[in-house]
Amino acid sequence: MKPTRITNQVKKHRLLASLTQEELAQKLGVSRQTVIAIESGKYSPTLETAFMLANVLGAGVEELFQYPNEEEVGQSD
Amino acid sequence: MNYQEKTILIALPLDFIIFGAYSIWLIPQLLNEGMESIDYRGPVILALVASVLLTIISQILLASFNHKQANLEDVRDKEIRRRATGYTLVFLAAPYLVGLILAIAEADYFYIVHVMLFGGVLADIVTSLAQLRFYRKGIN
Repeated sequence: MKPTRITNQVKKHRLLASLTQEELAQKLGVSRQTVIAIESGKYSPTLETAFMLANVLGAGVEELFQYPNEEEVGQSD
Repeated sequence: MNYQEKTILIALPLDFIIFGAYSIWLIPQLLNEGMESIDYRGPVILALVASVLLTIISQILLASFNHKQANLEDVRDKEIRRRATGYTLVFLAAPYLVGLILAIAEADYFYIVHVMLFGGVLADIVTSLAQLRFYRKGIN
């Protein structure tokens, strides 16, 4: 399985919003396991789910999800 | 473990049990008497009907114990199903293609029926295993 380079701060923002995984899942219309998979980086959500997450958590999509640019990747390699 | 993963974990052993039992019935006869003397039509239909009925019953029972999740198939479930089907497309298409070729070649019905039967079961098993792997390892 090709590892994703997308990282996320969903868990941090969920805790800031005082939501449990179950509550966030209900608001998004997904299962709790999907929220767990997103937080642990095992599932990159669709663009629509990413925007729904941003709306529910009151954060920007770029605050929730990060993708390193080529320079950052080069430095880390 | 989410609901869709549970449905796969319940349906998968049913495939092994039902078609394993059919194989246990079929193979000794095939080895000892040859295919000409085997009346396989009844048992094949029985295995297919049993597979459908037991799958429906098991899904009803699972849903009755998981009211909240029963109708929930979210975007991740759909993506996993789509990817698993894509990866295992060859397993889905091959038995029907081979069955078609055998029919054109006017092969014995025994071969056509069993290529399609076991090919379909194998495709189902491989697709289910691929889905379980995606649930465990993740998709990105």
